[in-house]
Amino acid sequence: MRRRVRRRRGQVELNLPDVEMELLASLVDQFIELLRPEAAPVAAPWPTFERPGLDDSDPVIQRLFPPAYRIDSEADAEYRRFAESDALRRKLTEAQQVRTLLDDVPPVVLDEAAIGALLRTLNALRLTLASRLGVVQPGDEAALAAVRRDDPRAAL
Amino acid sequence: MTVPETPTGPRGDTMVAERAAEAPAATVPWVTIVWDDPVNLFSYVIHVFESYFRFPRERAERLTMQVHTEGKAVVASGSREEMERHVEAMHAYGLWASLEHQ
Repeated sequence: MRRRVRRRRGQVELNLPDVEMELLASLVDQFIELLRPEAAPVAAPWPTFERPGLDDSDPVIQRLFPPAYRIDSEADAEYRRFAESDALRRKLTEAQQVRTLLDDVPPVVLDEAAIGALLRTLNALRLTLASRLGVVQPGDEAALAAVRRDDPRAAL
Repeated sequence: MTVPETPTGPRGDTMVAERAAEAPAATVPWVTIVWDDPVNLFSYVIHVFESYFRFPRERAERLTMQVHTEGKAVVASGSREEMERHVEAMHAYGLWASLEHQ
């Protein structure tokens, strides 16, 4: 069998079976949907022109856009005001790049920029799935390991 | 503030404080802290420290281990603007990072 991931002269060759390409594409689609501002309810009844309409009560959003200032909430709000929409745009752009290359016929050749986009997007998918499973803080994974077999989370 | 399209590393004019983790100087008022989390892989965090901060492998590994065992590690120090840029890049990579006044 051919190797799934192969490094070659600064590039990476991705050779995943169709089923894995499709699974990844589906996850990336859902991730893009999650990050689209119009997909999330806007908390304020008036248009918030400065902040993207992300659902801050969603643990996934909290994990993907964590506070830059942990204690000074005023400084954090100010930071978000100028940084958050860029951060969101970058995550979306990279996820869309990854989604496009998942439509290619393997082997998919990735240059350095595409490797970065793939790594960051895969990592964001891991964070998203983990947050949905309640694994956010160190130690949470122990509680997940202990869930009963009939718990829906056990399937993952 | 200009934000690079992909966070490949500090800008050319950015000085990465090489000894920040060991001894943040009293004159350097802000630090970037990376916090432990149960999801990010060791190999990924090491990769981020190597590729973004251009830390040598050994230092990237040591800092990653420190994040894991001590719950956090100071990875850079400098001006507030620099630290905000580092934190923004760390968040783009999915690392749990924040900046603090020393």
